[in-house]
Amino acid sequence: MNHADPVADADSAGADRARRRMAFWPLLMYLIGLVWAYLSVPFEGHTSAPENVVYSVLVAGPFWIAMLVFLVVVRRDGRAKP
Amino acid sequence: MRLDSWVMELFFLPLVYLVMREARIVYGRERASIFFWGSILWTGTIENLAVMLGAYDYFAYANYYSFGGRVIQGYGGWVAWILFVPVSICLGWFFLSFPALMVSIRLLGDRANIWLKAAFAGLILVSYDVFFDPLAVVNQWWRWTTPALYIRGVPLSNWIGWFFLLFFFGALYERTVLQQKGVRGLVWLERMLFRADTTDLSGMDTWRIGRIFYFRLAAYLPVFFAVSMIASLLTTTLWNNRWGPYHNVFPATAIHEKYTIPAAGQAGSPRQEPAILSVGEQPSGADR
Repeated sequence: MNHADPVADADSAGADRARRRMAFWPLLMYLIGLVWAYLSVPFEGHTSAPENVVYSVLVAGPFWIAMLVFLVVVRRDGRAKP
Repeated sequence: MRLDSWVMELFFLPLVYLVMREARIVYGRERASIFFWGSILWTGTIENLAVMLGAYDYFAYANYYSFGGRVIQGYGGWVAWILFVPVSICLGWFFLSFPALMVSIRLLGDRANIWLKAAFAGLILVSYDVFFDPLAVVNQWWRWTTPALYIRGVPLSNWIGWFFLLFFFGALYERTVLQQKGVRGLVWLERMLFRADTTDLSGMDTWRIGRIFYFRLAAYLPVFFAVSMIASLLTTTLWNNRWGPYHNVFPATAIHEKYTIPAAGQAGSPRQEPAILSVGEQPSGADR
């Protein structure tokens, strides 16, 4: 017997919005982390909190760039649909 | 300013719920649940083994946190634990890895190899942790106690492990749950265990696919450890910049004995006993 999982229609606007939110929440956590990095004591090898922030923006580049590109792509997909 | 781990959890746990809610819309309730429980099993097992092997610890016995041993006796600083690992650590992995895998699959497309997509997702995950782990270290949410090349207070082997965590998990999840296909080398064993041909899982009950996925995770656990250990030992042998001694709450392992050099005035004593911090005591710089 086949109990197919009722997956949301992959092309539906609702699923697109859910995809965007799913990528947005980790991005929000990252932004909260940047604030923490600023409030926190300097990381090992750093001398000031602003140095933490610069480091955090640079090293997490692949993360936030991929998330932002994804958000743009899914947004564009949604607009291209009739 | 130092932030306690419960403050991090306060922000973090509602976001875990929100990611789960969206995942249920995107992938369906059952597939999202399979990812969730799979990530708990996968990270819970690996993290606990890593802690017991002496790679790091979460101050489980330290009475260190602001509430620990003061307001709540015996409180270890985290809301809940799976053995020696806070539940939030496993949930955090789920919270980051499911979106990372989704982003990777969408950006690289259906035609790309599953291992390539898993590797890209692993890269996204690692880049987040290269930022987050130094923050955790200075806030003393956990402490690293393994010989390695340390960068911003975090061993390189940690990021090697993070990469392979999602590399294997993501590839198996996509292959098993999303594509519903077999994994070469496991088909004969699965035929015996599940009494079914697992080369094509389409048409099979989703929960049964979930059980096959969990089995595949278990089967790949030794592969994960072998690959991660070889890569970590290689980098440690080549570029180690912190030799110890280490103060993990667990007894010394063979690896630590090999890499630990006697501290001054401790000839013949290759390793110090684990330091159990008392109430209000701050860990020394060597602990972090």
